[in-house]
Amino acid sequence: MERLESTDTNLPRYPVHILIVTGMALLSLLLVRVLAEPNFLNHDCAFLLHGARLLLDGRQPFNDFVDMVPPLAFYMFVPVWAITAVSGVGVALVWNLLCVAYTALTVVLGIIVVRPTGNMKRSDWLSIGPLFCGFLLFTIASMYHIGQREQLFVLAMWLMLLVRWQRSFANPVNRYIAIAAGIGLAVPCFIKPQFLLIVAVLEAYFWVLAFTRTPQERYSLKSAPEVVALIVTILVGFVLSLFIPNIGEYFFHWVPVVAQGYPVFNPDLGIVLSFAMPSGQMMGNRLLVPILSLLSLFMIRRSTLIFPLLLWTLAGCCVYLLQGKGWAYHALPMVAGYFMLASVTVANLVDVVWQAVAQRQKQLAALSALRQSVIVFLLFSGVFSSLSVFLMRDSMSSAAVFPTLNDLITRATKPRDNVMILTTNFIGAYPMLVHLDRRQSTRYMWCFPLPMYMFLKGDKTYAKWDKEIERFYSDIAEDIEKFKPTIIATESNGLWSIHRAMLETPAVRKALEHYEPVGLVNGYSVWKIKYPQPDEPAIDTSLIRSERGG
Amino acid sequence: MIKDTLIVFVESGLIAAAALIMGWTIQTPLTDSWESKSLDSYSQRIGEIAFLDRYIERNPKSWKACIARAEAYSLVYHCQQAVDDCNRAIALKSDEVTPYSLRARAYYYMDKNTEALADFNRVIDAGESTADNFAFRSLIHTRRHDLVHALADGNSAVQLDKRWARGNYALALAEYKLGDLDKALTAVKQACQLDPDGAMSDVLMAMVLNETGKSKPAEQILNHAIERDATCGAAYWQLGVINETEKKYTRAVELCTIALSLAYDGELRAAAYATRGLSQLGAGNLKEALADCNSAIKSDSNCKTAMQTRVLVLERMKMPNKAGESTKAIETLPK
Repeated sequence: MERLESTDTNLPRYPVHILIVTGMALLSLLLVRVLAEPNFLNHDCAFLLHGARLLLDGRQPFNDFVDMVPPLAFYMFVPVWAITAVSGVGVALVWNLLCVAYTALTVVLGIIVVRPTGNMKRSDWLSIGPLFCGFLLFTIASMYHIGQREQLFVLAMWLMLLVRWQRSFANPVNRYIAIAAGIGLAVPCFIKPQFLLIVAVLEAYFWVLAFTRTPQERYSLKSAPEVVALIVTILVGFVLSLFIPNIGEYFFHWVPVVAQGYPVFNPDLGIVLSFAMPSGQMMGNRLLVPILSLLSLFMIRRSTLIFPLLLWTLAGCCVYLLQGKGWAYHALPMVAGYFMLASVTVANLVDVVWQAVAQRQKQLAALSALRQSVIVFLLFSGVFSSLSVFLMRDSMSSAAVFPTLNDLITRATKPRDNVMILTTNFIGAYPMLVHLDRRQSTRYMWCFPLPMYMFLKGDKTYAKWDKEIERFYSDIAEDIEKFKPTIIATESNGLWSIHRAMLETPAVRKALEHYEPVGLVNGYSVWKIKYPQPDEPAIDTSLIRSERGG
Repeated sequence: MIKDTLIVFVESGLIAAAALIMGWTIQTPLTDSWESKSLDSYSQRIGEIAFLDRYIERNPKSWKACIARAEAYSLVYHCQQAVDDCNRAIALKSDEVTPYSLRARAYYYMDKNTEALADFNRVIDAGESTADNFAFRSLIHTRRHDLVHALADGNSAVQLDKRWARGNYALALAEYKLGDLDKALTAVKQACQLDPDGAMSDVLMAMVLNETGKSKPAEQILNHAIERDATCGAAYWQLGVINETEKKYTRAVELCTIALSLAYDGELRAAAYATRGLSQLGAGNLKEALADCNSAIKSDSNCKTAMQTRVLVLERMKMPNKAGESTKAIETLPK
């Protein structure tokens, strides 16, 4: 039986039962969580699903609906509706189960990738189980963001990291898994190119590492089908986008407007740095996180996982700060990075203690490598279970979606009816539209252009942006005439007061002649379509009441 | 071989238990002690409600958590949810006054005046004789056209705390409805000074000034109120009244329509329909005027303006019998 020495590089395969049992236990918890909330749907996923629904209804991108995400993203969600139609299961549950399945597949592929352990040091070898554990705990705690682009990126990036890490040891990696990892990573990177910063930083690390290795190991890193697959998939995505109708408007109008105008949604830097925005906040204790991250620096020489995870964390932090919004889900890659870093760090600390104890107890030192790995894993889980809840908050603990218009839309409309919700904050709107099967009937799926135009215009009279603002309102008037939504709900108390300016626009006032005002519902000014009235309204004498109110 | 298998089996059991414990622990809802006070109120409430959702799931008998969540919902004006949580808290601890107080306010904003009055009576009788409770009760009495009690409660509110803006506002509104414009002006000025961001105080001030023929300063105050609060339907309505007085009927109709799209209570709805009806009459749109008057009366059966306008409309439409019926109905209104 092999003993486990610290300088061992000829280790047995890491005990697969640790990975399988941990994977099954934690994936089961994730599955239970998803099944316990069958109607839960992340708002961004709801948004993309709704866009896919509009495509299936025959609506055209940029004519009938507009958004700043690459329009190919909407097409990618079309198969989810197909599965929903065939299975009869609600679309929210279908999507969440697909995400759980994708997580499970990632874990299975990850287990296959880490099987060869040649050239690994003891500390790396012992870190495998804790790394898997940290990754899976992260996915459980990030339940609110299930299916979110950042969460899909973390899943894909984790597998890619394992593949690149194995290559750094010149360990064999299944070619097809490597290509799948590259393709899987390309998809979220295509939808949100900001993620490429994290990919680039890690890739740069592995390339620099390659130059310090033997020729055999350098070859292994450089001939990397996963990197080729990543690049090719992104290029293919770009080429496919060119076939989308009206794509020119996206690249030549919307991309420049968003690039210049997106800072309008930036809060104060203090809010961004505080990591306090709700709606799925996961940031842990602000002292413990940097302390553990700094502690990891002392472990850099022990485990080759530490430095790439540290780089991942720092790059993730940069991506979060560059986006500048402070939104909770923007911090997901960073949180995943430091959480996995903490799991590996704690595992190594536990191993240090274990080795000190084992040196004094010959029976413990005589244990086989496999037994020691199980013991270290169990000790790690004892320590980490008490730390983990302070390192990362459960995302559902800060995510409440208010049922703002649900009652109104349910009562006043029926499935597949057109409704128009004009808002700059769609968190409450799209899960509702998807669940109730209504159709957003303005091309501005959320009214991001208006704040951007106003921001770009500033305080000056600037003809170009004044025209765009005018066009924005006339587009809304046109959409009202075209789609005849049963209900129009306009955000009336936001920063940009869509409602007020809209009603000052003659074209909109004209379009609203076919509508009657209903009133204020949870901050939305609501209008309902009029139905044909008889020529002479009968006088309802029951309205003349003598009671004195109440 | 069997021994190895057994060891692996035992290890798997321990690993599974450890993993499940970690998985369960990570889902523990903990508050974030690093809350940023610079977050807006809405964002803070989202965080509080989300945490309380998880907490109440695990502690369903915690009436304090239900009250806390009701409070959070109240602060973002999600009144039905606030009422539901108050009901839950009351079911768990019926002798606690706080949920009745929160529910009373939620009912007020939902325009459920009978229920709100019942709760405020209970709260005040239980010893919570605060200026705010009297102020709210005064406003409810005003809505129910019980101006005697409205005035009494308004006075109580101001006596308890002269510097409570809502108390001064409630008193001013009662005085205005009773026709004592001087006292109304004194009280509303105090309310405006105490709560410079309060759009409703501005609207009342404008109403008083309008009644005394000072429509230009009233208009300025109303535009200022709208700048501060784009959802202030009452301000749009009053601007509609001013435009109607100046015979700018088309503009008056537009403004009243905006007011209707922002109305959340029957009183404002009735007032805006009534003014729009009057404007439609002025513009010669008799069918629309009649429809608006009917809508106003449906929202508030004591809306005198609407009833009087309807009489005029029916006379213009050459329906004297129906006009006569409407005139009789006006005579039955409370003085």
